[in-house]
Amino acid sequence: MINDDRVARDVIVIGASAGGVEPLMTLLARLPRDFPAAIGIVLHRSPFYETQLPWVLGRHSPLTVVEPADGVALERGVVYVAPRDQHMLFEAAVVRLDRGPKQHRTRPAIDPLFVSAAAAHGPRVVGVLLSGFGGDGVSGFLSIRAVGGITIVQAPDDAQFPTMPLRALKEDHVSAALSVEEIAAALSVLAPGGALEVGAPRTPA
Amino acid sequence: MYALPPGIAADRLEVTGISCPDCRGVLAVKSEGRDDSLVFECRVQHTYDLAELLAAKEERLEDNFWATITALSELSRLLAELVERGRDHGETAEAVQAYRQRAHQVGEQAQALRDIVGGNRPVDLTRTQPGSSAIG
Repeated sequence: MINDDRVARDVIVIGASAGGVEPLMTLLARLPRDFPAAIGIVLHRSPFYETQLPWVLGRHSPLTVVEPADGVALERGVVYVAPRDQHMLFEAAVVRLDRGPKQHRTRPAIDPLFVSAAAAHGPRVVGVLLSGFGGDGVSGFLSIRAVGGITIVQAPDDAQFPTMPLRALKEDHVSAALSVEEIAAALSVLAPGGALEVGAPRTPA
Repeated sequence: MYALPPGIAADRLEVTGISCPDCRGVLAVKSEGRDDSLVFECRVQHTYDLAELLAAKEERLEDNFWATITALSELSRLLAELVERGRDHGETAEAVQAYRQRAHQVGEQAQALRDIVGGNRPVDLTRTQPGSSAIG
């Protein structure tokens, strides 16, 4: 049972890399219009190309999807997508952009979002790690767990590139490994403070 | 010294005034295709279109900034620790004061460069590629 203490898990932070666009589109399309959580997304991306990423991800979703400017208010029902060449951080009341050193050789990176969200919002945080290469997000998951947040990976056999989910499963006690559709359903339950029955994720050998 | 030579042609490579981002060798340029796009090639056949060259130059620039920031940060820290040691190991007051002042100066420089890097905004290369709006 996840969230049997019925905490409203209304700060959701999602990381993805290669193979992440489609799961993100599916996930956002399946969340309801009045979804009572703020969502942050870091998709590993080129530092040199402005793209239509918020439009692409939010095409079939009723939610507002934006690339935030530094210092905008952090609001429920809004999806914040990290812009190119900056780390995106969630503070207590605002979103911050930071062109600091690359982490895991990339910027935006997933760890800065996860770690800042954990520090500012504690157990309200749900961290989600989708398809991708490399180790970005694992440290962030540990930070989220340390403050009582929930961590969910895309099931490795559901992910186009399962390395990132597999690393998280290996290094941490992840709460659940789910398909993208199951993740959307889980977030809809968790955000307003519901509890969720899931099987224990299989830790890879 | 120019960056791009005056006589860029389609049938031969002309030497530029800029270096190859991947090997620091001499970079040459020619024009290619219907739109006379610039194509760069070095002595050992590293190749770039214009957007790729700009991206590589921006990456090297940032690498150089961080190398300098690290050098300044190391020196600042080393000097600060020498100030601490100096008190216990018989360094003269003048030496300790010199270390302290220089530690402060290079520390300020490191932060100034971090602020410069933080404010850098490389050009959006979507406009540099003819007619493309790539995703991701």
